[in-house]
Amino acid sequence: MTHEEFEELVPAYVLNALAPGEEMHLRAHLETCRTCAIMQQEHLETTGYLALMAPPVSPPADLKERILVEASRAPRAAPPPVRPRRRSGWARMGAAIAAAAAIVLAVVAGALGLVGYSQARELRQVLAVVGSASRTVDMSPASQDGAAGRIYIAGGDRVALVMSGLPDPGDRVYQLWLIEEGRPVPLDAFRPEAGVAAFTLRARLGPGQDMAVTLEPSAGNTAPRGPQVLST
Amino acid sequence: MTRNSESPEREDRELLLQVARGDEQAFARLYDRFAAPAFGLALKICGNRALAEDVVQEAFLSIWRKPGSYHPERGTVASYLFGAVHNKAVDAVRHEESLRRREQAFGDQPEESGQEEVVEGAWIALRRDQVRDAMRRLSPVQREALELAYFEGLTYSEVAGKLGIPLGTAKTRLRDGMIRLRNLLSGRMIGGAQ
Repeated sequence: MTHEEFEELVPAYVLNALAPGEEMHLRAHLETCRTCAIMQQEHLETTGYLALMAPPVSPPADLKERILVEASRAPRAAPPPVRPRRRSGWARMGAAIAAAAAIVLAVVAGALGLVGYSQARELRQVLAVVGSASRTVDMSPASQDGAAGRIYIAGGDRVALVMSGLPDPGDRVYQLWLIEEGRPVPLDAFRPEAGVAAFTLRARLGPGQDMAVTLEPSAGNTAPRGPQVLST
Repeated sequence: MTRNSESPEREDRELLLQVARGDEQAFARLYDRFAAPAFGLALKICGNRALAEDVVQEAFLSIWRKPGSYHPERGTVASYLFGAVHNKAVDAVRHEESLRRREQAFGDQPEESGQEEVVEGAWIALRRDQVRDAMRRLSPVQREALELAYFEGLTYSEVAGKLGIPLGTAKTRLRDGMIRLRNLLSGRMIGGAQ
């Protein structure tokens, strides 16, 4: 999506009138585009007035009590520290996973001509697995270039993979492999956006199984040909 | 944003900063100030009192729990707070669409206003007059698009579908409506002739 196309969506975004996939995509753009961020702030101010078009209605008295009771017992987050600079692959991954997934999904969706709801469903799946993961397995880079990957394993065979710091593959493609007893089995091929890629898959990861990411001349190889980028 | 609303805005800001520091009494005062317009907004969107109560509860508690998410330099407390309410109300209504349809079918209408003594900040009533006046000065199609998006919780593509207009036109009407509204409210368009 071009910057102009993002800009066109900002008013609708502020009105909460975007489809979930578009919203995630625009939110990622807003993190890097000052023009759109300023526009968002200006439109947000307007909604502060628009809200008043609804006639005021006094809520029941016990609502206030419920809220105050809940507040007095709720643990509060400390005001967040200044966002750390994105130095390493891990620091970058510490930032919004949702933004990362949205960028990747937007690229894939664009390539396949999918829009809207299917993006939202995939993104929700990534976040659902990450949120309910019972264990994680880290992938290490083959060289020192800052690539990082983490595998999230939720119940059964639900797996999500989130990677960052992946160099631009150019006209090659990244390929994920499941390595069972030394034998590589090809899984998903993917291209990162801004160095980030995230998706879900079904796989049982137990002892004796590893995962690796290689950089291949094309997708669909039955055995890895290119260099290894990440591995467990 | 006329001059005589600067002082209430500054008060609101100070109040929310106290809330951010964990002051429960400040939080109670914040509630008193904004509960009626917040609940009115949630009720208009959700069409269901129980749902609206949950929305208001979640919105206020999210403000309490995430003190770092309000940035005074980025906007007023009103836009921040109503933004939280609107967000949750739209989420709720998109999930509860069928419930709402059933309730309306069985005549279980939400009790709308018709209430006299509504407690809210006096300057909020002033702002309400300003925005009602400004909304009247939008073109009918801009006003209609904004109402469908903001109060019905429709996405812009649903607005386009409902009105039988292209996606681009829906986006444009929303954008132009918002720009015009902003200009009218900031006093840039004196007289405001269409």
